[in-house]
Amino acid sequence: MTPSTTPPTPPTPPLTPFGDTVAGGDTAAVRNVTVRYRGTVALNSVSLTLSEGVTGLLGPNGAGKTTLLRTLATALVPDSGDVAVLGRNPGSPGRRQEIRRNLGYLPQSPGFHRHFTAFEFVDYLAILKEITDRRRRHDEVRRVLAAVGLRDERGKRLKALSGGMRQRVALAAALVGDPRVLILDEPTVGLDPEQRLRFRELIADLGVGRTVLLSTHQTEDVAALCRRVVVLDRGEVRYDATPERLSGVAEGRVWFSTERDPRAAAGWRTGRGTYRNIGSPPEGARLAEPSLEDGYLLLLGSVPEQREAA
Amino acid sequence: MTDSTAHPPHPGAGTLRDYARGRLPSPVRETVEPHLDGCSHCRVQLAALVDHAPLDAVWRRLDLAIDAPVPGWLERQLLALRIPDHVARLMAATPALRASWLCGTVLTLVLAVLTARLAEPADTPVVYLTVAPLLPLTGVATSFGRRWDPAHEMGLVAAVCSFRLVLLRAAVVLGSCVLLTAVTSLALPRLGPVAFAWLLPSVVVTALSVLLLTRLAAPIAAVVAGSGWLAGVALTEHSEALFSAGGQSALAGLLAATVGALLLRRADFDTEKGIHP
Repeated sequence: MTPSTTPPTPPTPPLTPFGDTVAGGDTAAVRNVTVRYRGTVALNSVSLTLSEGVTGLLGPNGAGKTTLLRTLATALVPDSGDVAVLGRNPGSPGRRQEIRRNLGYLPQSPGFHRHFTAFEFVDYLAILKEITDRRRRHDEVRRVLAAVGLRDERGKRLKALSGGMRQRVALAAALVGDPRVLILDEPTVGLDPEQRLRFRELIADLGVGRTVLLSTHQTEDVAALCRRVVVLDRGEVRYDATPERLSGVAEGRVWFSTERDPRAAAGWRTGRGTYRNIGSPPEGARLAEPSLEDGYLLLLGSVPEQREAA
Repeated sequence: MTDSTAHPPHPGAGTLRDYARGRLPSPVRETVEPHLDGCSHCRVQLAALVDHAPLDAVWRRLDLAIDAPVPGWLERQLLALRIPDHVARLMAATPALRASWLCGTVLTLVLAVLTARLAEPADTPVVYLTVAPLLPLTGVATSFGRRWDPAHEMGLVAAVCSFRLVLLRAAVVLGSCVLLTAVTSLALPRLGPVAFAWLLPSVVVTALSVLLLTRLAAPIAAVVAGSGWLAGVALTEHSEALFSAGGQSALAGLLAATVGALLLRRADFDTEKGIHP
């Protein structure tokens, strides 16, 4: 096994102690967090510290991504472990309110009052954020709708908007109050390539000067946007480093062949008729440039191999 | 035609400033305006002298009138009651407030009144007084949680204080039912004050169902609170006892205890483990 295939050990968060407030520049952190749903462990002693910029969160379905995001978004109280957002412990009602004033959360399937217009929906959530002054609130609603490129659609009913536009409305709602921490749960799911590109541009801009945690299945989004990637698998952090290093996991382990290679852990026929294989290449194989997806697949698919090596 | 007619002299800075402030007297103004029409140089000078604040204010008012949400019928009624616009908007967005729920509530009340008039003892219409407090529960059951509130999850995290939102919605549901029931109570004039003996039980069962939201999904919380009420009526040796002065006092005590428990547990409504999804 090449050294690059071993995932780095997740760093231990430097935040101690997790009291009512936490000193330091880290904007969000969990330490030894465990969450159970009816006896099933969704997060198993997860520790993670986030700071400014876009962090990508990858993982298969059921890995615990949404649970982690909900925990950091203060919607979920963990069964054990510590959470700190913006130096505050969300376990205290007063601190939780302070966090929520500076937190934006876009859930995996944001629901809508479909008879609302885009303006009304964002306005409704701005009221929940306690922006009570009508003029200030409406200015803020206009600002966030313009930020997501929906200035001209603000008066349209949500049921008349496309899925991509509704997703942008939800993002606009998450941006109300200019939050310092933004948590996005699969924001690009179901979007066409053009809409995804548009979202990518938005998220890249949002990552400047604030902490963005982006959960996704799209490795291309992570490669394009994130300066750090965390892989969650079966409720545990499996990888925490840069996207480049995750691609490096597959260095020398992706190759082309003219026929399906039985030694490959995964392989598929490309449009050019050759097979692209991932795994342990044979001698003299024509190696290919690995992608982030290759590294990710190899990481998740090579557990027994790594355990043996360990 | 003289040269000065073809190119009239530009108005001085003082003249333009007076014009911008609307203080230029009439004869001079009429000479300056045609000049401004034809002289871009002077229009630029004038634009720099105009106070933009009133223009901006007009623009903002127009902008507000064009794209700001137009209050619906219920929201307008709430605004007429001097309820602040942000509170009125939250109240009007209560998921239960659909035509189907209101129609169902009215229909149930009409049937209960008909039963009271035609088939019940004249002094205490037990069916009517038992059914009326159950009506807000249907509203509570369809106002909270992911299934009924489409923006439940976004709202949960967006809300700085979810307890306030829960109380507002419960108040809207209860208020609507109280209003409708009070109107139908007028169809039972011979009863006097007894015709309003449903009021306190309505508040109690609504408060209980809201308290149960911290442990149960909204429909189940409503069923449990409603079952408790029905059991209370059934178990009372003489059913009318609950609607007597003593029964109402006991209900008032239960209400006080429920409100106390709600206040103690208000922080539970802020998270998913508090308010059941």
